[in-house]
Amino acid sequence: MTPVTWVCLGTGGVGKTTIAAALAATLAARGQPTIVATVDPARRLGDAVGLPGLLGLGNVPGQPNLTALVPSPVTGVRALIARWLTQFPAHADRLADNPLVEAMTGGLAGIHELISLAELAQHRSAAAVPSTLVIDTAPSRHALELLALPTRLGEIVDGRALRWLGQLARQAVAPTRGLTSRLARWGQNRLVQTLSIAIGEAPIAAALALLALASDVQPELSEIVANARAMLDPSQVYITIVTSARPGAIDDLEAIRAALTKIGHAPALVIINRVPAVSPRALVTHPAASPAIRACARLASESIEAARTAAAEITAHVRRWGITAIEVPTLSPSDPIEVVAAVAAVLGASTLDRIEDAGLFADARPQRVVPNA
Amino acid sequence: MVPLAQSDMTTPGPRIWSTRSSLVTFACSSASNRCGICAPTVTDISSVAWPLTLVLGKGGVGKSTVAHGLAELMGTSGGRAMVVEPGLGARLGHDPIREVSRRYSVERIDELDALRDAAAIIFGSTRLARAVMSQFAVRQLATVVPGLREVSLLVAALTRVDSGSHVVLDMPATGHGLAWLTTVGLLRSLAPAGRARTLVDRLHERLNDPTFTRLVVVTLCEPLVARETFELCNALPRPPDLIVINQVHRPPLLDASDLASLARLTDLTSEAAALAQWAKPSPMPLFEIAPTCELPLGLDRPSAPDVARALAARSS
Repeated sequence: MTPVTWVCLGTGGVGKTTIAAALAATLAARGQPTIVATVDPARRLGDAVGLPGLLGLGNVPGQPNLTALVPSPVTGVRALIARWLTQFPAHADRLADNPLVEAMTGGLAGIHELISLAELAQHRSAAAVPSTLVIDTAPSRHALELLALPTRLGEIVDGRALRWLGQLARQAVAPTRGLTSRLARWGQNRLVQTLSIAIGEAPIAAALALLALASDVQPELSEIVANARAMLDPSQVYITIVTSARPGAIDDLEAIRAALTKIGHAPALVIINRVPAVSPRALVTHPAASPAIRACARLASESIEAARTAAAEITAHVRRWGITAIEVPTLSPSDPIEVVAAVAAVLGASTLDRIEDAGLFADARPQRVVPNA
Repeated sequence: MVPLAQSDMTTPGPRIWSTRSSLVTFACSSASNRCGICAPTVTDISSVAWPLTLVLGKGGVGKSTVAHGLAELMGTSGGRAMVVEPGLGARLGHDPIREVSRRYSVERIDELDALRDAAAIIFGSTRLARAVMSQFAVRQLATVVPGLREVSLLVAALTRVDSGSHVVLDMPATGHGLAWLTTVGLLRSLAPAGRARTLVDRLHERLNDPTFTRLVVVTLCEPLVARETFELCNALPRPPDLIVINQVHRPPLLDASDLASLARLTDLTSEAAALAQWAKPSPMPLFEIAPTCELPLGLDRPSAPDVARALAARSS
């Protein structure tokens, strides 16, 4: 079987991490080597798989086919640059104490996605056996940014931009009389000068030093980006939208689907998390119930029935998209590992089998899978 | 649905301290009103003393709802208030607020617009900024180079403050929201001079000025969420000025004798269990580092005045 990627996304607080861990457990339980990874800087994945505080790769206890991965930007950036410097020692001087590298390892916004993507792609392509990847994402737009990132990076790394910037960087470092047209060089110098006046010479020099290295390691960058692209290519990805059973959820789902369409993706599965199973309606009129219980039962019934109706509407709605919605009931355990196990039991291997059997590849979309129909 | 609005909000219910407050490393100095025991007054919450309010918290806890409620409160107390929604890290889908009131405005700022505006400040010329930004390599890099868009959006919020508004910035979820603040400090060490440094310095100074920027953290009374909130509070450059605990049901809907009689209804065991589960009192996290304020359970897509009223009524 071709290894694929499952991406869990959704608005905040719907239980993406739990669902991702449960999905991964289900896939691993049927013998498929699986990596579950998070790109959410909130890093709750370790708790969900019983490896609290996990950073890097870890074998999930009790599940031989399942590995968890929590990328670390700090060690990631340092390791990459150290490796490149052994290949191109000429850059070592100018990159020692480079303030830009320092800032990148210090938690600059956005670096998390870049490094997570590189680490995920690397682990996926380096795995001894082809592994299915399950990715838990950060809320809302950050997930979509991640899906679009390989293409955007590809435009830079494989396009004109890096070549142009690399040339500019090399020239700024050691001016050479090459074949570059003087006009182009004049333009590049003007840009560097303008930026240096506004931003300061040191950060521009730091950026140029990094760009010069980047242009030397372009083939490797290109390979990393190609791996990331393959990993998140629409023909390889099951997008799983996780939602809660709220009346407004359909609007959210439509907005997510529209945003996905824009970047060439389509949802493959919707999971409605925490659908309450039983309404205490009968207690409202129960003769033995006290007035307090009756009043409370009335409120609870209204709220629970609203959630159940919302779940049914979501299921009917996404069926019109041609995909399946799975309802996961509200589960009572408070321990995250127990919740994950319970959710995995609900998801069940057979449902995932059917979704995979329905075909994934672009021409097979939209998939038509209707559960228990 | 307003199940709890009818109950008496002033009666404090039993508190269940389920989360370890030892995770909190900030010293609690009751003298400076940074103690859970010292109650902030309603005017504290609605105060227009802070020109900038940053609303932080885990995904899905109700940051946007609280942002709109705070803007409404500030708008009511006389200031010009606005909610700024940065396009980067924005929510997907419906607005959490049913209706926005006229007492404040809402602006959604696109990150590329913010980037261009910040560049105009740095280059001292809109035309020059546009020329640099139109360079294809610069434009392509600008969206993937870490930190640029985030800082530009913070600068954009500050620009709105300068034009006389009290700005409530609805930040992205935990890790990303925190990264925005970290990035400002990191960029300072990057640019030792120049106009960019002046701008980042000003941003840094404003964000770290407790009389200018108010940090509001939103959380839920769920152990896992509370734990992430503790971690967030510890990672912030200073303790938050206010913690809003959302979706609290207090006083408890059913007391011990109700629960006992519920257990005796043997003919409807699954219904009784469902009700007991639903009415389970929220375990209240104890935050010693900041004044807290509660929002009741059941505010589903409220209007901004609903949130404002609830915030004002439930300040502890």
